[in-house]
Amino acid sequence: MDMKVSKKLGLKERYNLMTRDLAWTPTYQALKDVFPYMEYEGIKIHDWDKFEDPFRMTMDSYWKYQAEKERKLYAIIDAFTQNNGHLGVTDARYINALKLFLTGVSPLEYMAHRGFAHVGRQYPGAGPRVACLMQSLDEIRHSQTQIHSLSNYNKHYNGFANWRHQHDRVWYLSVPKSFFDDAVSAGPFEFIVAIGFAFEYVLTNLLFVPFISGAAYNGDMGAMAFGFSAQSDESRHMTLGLEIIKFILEQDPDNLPIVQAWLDKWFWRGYRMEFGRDNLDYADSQDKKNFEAWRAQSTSN
Amino acid sequence: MSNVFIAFQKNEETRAIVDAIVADNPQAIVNQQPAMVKIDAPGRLVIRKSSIEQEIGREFDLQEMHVHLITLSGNIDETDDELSLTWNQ
Amino acid sequence: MQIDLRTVSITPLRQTYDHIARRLGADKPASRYIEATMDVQPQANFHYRPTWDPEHELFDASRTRIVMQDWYALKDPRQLYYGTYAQARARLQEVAEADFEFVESRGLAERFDDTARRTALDFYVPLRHVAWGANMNGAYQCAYGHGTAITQPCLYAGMDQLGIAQYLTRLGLLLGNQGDLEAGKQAWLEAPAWQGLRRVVEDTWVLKDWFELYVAQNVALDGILFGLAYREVDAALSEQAGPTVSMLTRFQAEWFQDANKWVDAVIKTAAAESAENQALLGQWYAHWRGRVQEALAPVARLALGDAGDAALARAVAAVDARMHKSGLAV
Repeated sequence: MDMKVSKKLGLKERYNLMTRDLAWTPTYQALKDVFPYMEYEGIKIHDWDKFEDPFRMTMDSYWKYQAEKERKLYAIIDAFTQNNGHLGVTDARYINALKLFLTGVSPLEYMAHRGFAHVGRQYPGAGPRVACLMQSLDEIRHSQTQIHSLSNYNKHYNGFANWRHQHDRVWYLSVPKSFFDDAVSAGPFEFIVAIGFAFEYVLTNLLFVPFISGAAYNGDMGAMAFGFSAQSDESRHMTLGLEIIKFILEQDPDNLPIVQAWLDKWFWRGYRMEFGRDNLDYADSQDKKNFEAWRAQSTSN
Repeated sequence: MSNVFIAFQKNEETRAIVDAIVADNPQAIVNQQPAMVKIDAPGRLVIRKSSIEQEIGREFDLQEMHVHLITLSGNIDETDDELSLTWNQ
Repeated sequence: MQIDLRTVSITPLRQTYDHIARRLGADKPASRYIEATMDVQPQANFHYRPTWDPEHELFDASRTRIVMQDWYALKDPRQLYYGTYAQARARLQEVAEADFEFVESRGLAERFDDTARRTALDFYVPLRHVAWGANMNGAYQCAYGHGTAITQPCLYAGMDQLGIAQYLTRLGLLLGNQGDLEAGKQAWLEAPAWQGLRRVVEDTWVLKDWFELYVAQNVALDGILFGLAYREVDAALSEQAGPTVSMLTRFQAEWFQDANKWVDAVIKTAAAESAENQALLGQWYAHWRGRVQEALAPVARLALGDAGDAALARAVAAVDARMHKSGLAV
């Protein structure tokens, strides 16, 4: 039987067939009943198809490569645990940075997971939906790999055991808690500008890369492994944030002042979150006067 | 002109990836760090599947890079054959 | 001969996190699934109510009429956290990939019987849109559900459905071409045989109670559709033309077995909690089973002709049996 050989489809075309083409405009239910939160923030979107997918990863590739990352990561965590690697950490004060991480940051990864599931359902555009849902998956990955990596420290050190209870009650942890509570309770467009762009793109490198470098410097292979592994997911998150803000601004000039106000708000809210990285002052001299100088220097990069 | 950059974990596979990038991007600068290798280039960086395959000696799906990637900057364009990072000034 | 391993042995101060120890009843070592799942969702002192749903808190058990003393009773018997989830799916993916490779490299698609090919394309390709709808619903359940024990696997199932939609797309491209994908989408949007099912999918998109959505999607729609598509129709096509299509739908068939372990456990635990839950779940199941069966009748006939009605009835009976075992009055 004569079979017409299909022209080999490029990645972009294949990816379109695997995502956007799956979607359709409902006719048995009104669009605004299926996607009820699209109008109340005043953002105007005329054509969701203009969104450019940053990475073009289908689920089969996602599972394949993420599984490989997980195998490697847990192998390192297990090795570090079996070797009592925590005994080799060079500076005891570094352990306090880890306590701040588990109580302050890991719960936020979980909030991001639920937040991205929410916007991943609520956007009418297929492209952004898929990218947001993959991010939701990545964020629960981060929350769980952190809980697992730090589980061994919990066995041997105080200050890790009550992270859930403390995140919701300790005064200085109200900084990260309110950050994400505010973002998730905001509308879907503000959420993505706040988290996808202002946090993930602008600030995440400032928080995570020094933390991971600190871990490597101090001989904490467990944290370093999960950090580098998580950062590769972050590349996909950053490109989503960058593309979505470009898309929103290009859709309608009326969006500009709204987005600008959000950026002003969220940059400064996010900056105050750098408390996590500020705890790295252990890495500098004991002289307390150096904290401000250290922070001024580290933010000039 | 702003730099684009890409950073990988340091391991056996990324050795080949970095060599391929350097061969294809004459203006690229490689920065070796503990456990990490960073490559900066002015305005644009291109990563080619065929070049990596030549260095690594086996078939290589570009998306395999995700296993080793740490972070990057620039606008992404991804095809089966190339991944490019650019800043349009 | 005695061998002494010289290692440093340190007695830990504790075995696990405090909130985990409370649940286990003692400070015992906990599995990675337990540590990653129990009590991870915040419960207290939310700073704001959502501007998009001011009737509820950020996380709010009253977003469903199902009532649980402890939402973490709904543990996943597969114990999937992200790491085990990704690895389990990667194993299925490797096999599926090999099967697609096999069909392609041996020219099995070209040589496939034309009548069977037409049936396969007409029946399976539009199902990629049903799977897209399922992906949206999985996201909804994860976003608005209560407690990590249930929301986590809901997202995994939703993303699995995106993967299934993508495998169905590849089936269309391998047995046919892009024109067949277009034709399948047209049929989904306009052909009378598909409108009942499309209406069901769109109706699920406006359900507010996430647990009702779970019954509609994960129990009724997935249960009956997958039984029809990946047992009944699959068997008929295999008998007619050999196992080529079975190879291209292997992921779905194996996924269905895995997912049912979870779905059956969730319904069983929720139904056992109270007579009210049991009654509510039973009502929802009866309603959505009815809608799905009615919607699938023309689709079953499209694939199986006169044998369609009996095949559909068998698929429904199989889900009835599962739900009966889970404690619903079916």
